[in-house]
Amino acid sequence: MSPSLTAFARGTRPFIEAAERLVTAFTPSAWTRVVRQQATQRLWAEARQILPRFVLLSGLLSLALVHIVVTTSDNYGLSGFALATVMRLLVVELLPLLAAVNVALVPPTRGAGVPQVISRSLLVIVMATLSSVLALIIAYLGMYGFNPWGLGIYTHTVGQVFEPIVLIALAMKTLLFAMTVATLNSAALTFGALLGIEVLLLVIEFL
Amino acid sequence: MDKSSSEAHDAGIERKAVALIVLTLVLIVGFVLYVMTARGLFAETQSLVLTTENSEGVRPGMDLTFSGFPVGRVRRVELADDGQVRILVDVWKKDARWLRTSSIFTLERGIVGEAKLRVFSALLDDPPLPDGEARPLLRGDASEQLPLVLANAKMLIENLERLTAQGSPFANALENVETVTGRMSGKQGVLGAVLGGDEEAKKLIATLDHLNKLLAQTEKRVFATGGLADTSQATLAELQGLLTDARGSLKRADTILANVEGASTDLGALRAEVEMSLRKASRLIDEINRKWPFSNKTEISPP
Repeated sequence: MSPSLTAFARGTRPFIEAAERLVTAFTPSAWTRVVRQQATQRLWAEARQILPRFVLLSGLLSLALVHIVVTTSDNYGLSGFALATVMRLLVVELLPLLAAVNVALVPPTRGAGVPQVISRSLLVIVMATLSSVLALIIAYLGMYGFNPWGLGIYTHTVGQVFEPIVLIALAMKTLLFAMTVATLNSAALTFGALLGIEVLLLVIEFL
Repeated sequence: MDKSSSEAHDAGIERKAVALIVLTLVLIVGFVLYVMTARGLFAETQSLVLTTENSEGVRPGMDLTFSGFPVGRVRRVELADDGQVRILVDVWKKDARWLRTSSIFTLERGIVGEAKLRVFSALLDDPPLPDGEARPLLRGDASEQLPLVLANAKMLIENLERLTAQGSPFANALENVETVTGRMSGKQGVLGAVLGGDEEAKKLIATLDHLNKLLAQTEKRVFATGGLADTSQATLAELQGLLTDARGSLKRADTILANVEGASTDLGALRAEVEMSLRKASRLIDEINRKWPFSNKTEISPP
């Protein structure tokens, strides 16, 4: 074997292992009762550990960003774009990535196998979903306050921002993030892969 | 006992985990349904076709607004066979009442932000716009006009600068106006301003005085008793008499001329008569000469 080929094989090895873990985890025969039990227990344990903190922090971040965007756009007379900007920035770009990074920061248990893959990928999806819904609520409150009459235009803006392509990109991004975080063991590789996925989806979305 | 309590604990954890997953799923499905509703997937629509020359700024998904409220959304933008752009708009049935047959549709492009598709319905009593109706789209583009406006503004400013510059005709005119108004406020007033100085105004006043005197004298000479006017009148009367006389003389001359004409017509006959008489006399003398020996010579003398 030539040295370059050896280097290539060594470089791709973690990814091949990750793919193996993924295929095993999503093979229905692997989902025994024990595995399911272990997966749910792991999910709950990890969720208890990082979910409250993450939801709180993402809520604060959303509040700050909504306030900054709304105030700035008001100053420049562009308040019509504030809501759409906040939605794109937080829900579509920032929060799924933050959720994935937060889960990736929890070191995986070596040799935990299928239950860990399932629990970690589910956790990314749960965290991304909860923080996004929270961000959407904060965006409404930041824009209109406790006033139900903004709901019509808010719904309209949601409809404009979440075009089919954006929804698909968001779903794909969250799933890919979840798989990456659940299967890759190296932190450095995980962050690299997350960045790669983010860039790739941005290219697809805005091309 | 320990095992069963641990199992119960595990089951509790499992339930909580499942609840978390279910909550997430409900949120995701709810959000997708919400987005679909927001995009008008469940709303009944009617079609509207807007035709224009240029599709710039129009994209599928943009709103058609009435008084700032979205009433429809662009579904498709296509180029027709005649080169016109056809913008297919889905108008929500519940908002279709704002579209009337007399409605006007405009596309406005500001300098900042995306283009805006608007509908204006001034007469809301007009019949509602039917489904699938085609209407022209008027374009109002602020940025297209901007270079022209800037160029015009620049030209205007340059002209103003040229007008107000030192030594420009306008500035000179203003200076002259100042001089004139200064003169107007002088002793001779407006007259001084018009004539270009007080000295000239004084001269004019002196001339006017002189002219007045001259007029008084003329009046005296012409219109006083025995003046030029009276003399002229007498001369005219005399002339009239002379003319009457001349007319009588002419009439007399006419009569004489008529007589002369009558006399001249008899002259021929008179001459013939005289000639005949002379011939008779000559024949008589010849006769006497032959019969009487008074004369040996026979001599006939013409008359």
